[in-house]
Amino acid sequence: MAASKPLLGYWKIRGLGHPIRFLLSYLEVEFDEKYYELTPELTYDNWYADKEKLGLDFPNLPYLFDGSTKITEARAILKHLCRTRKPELLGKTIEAQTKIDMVDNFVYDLWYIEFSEMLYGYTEEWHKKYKAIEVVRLDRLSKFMGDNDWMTGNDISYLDFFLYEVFYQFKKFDPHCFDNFQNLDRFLTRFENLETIKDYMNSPNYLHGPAINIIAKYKI
Amino acid sequence: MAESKPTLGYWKIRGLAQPIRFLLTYLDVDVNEKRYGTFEEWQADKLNLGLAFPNVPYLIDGDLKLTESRAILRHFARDTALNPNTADATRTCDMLENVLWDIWFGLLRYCNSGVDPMKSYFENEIPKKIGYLNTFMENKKFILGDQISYVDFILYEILYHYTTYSAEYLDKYSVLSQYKKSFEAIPAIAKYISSEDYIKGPCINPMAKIPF
Repeated sequence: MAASKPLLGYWKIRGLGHPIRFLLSYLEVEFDEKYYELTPELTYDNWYADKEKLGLDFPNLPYLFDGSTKITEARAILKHLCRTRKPELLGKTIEAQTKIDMVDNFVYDLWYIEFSEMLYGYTEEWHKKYKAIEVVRLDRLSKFMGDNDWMTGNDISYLDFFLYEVFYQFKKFDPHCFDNFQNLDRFLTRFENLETIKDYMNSPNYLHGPAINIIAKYKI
Repeated sequence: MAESKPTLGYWKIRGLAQPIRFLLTYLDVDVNEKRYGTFEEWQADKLNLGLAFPNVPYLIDGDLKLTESRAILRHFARDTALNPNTADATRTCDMLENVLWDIWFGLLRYCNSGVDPMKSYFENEIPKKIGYLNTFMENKKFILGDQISYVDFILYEILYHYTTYSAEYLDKYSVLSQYKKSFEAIPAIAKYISSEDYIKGPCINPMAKIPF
């Protein structure tokens, strides 16, 4: 009996799904997707129809079915895929793993608490406040990365898959946000030039957008 | 020459450092704590410690300069009995870490802002998540079953925060209510709770819209 392909369930957006899609592609793991879309009235009913029926301990999107494993939480999914297919992507040394933990949490806060919230409840004033925070934090990330190929050194890790999507979304919102952080801009290009990533981005399956749910006031 | 102890820096509140404090006590790891009482005290240090991402809590241990409370917790748990040691256990800890953080920040962000959208999220979405957590913890002593792990230290502090915010909050969640009592009875934890070092409160920044 053939092994079943992993199934990724997520909104039909980039969001937190794209890092997982990119990683699966990088790992050359064929996968199926269940896309959820908002109803025409912009409710979550399509997701709610499935939510309690999937055997998930903490029903949420994204979710991954992988053999007999059912898992939620995007970063937990990313780590699970690394652990089961290519553990070195979790960080080759303890020092790398510690750095990855630190940057993972730092970037998630910037993206989730500052950036995403601003887009969903957008006002001009909130935009300005966000940009003041963003420039400081991007500066720190840029300095931390330095001349490395990837955020924590010259070895790619799961963090870089998460970072690519976050940086993509920042640049979609403001094409000039990396003007003063050229190494972060080069990171984006470097990621897009990985063979497996390039192939995925050119494939008919690839979802170009939207980046976030369309109930956001400011759509990207 | 005596080795210097690591330094853990944070506000003079429980907040995000409390799981770390409990974990260090449980592991019998000695650290110096720098507890900041005012914004000015922290500002004086903030850019002078060599932190890549200046913030509290921070950990300075020789060349290691670490921020992000979860990274610090995982750092101390690594290679100890509090670290998951199978793929299944690691996956569970990863997932719960994120679920718990969502539940915690649902409360923290609501109490910091006092208004929507945090208010609606806290009132409508958080109870569902806590319900899933209560069900998940049925018949389990700890998140991993019989084995305590670093994620239990996050869970405990969340339950303490919620019951400080509202004493009856866990009344509907009997499993979590019992878990909280059992955790407080762990000998190393009970001993720390009755020590002079222990911070009973506040849980969050006293300047929050809804302080507790």
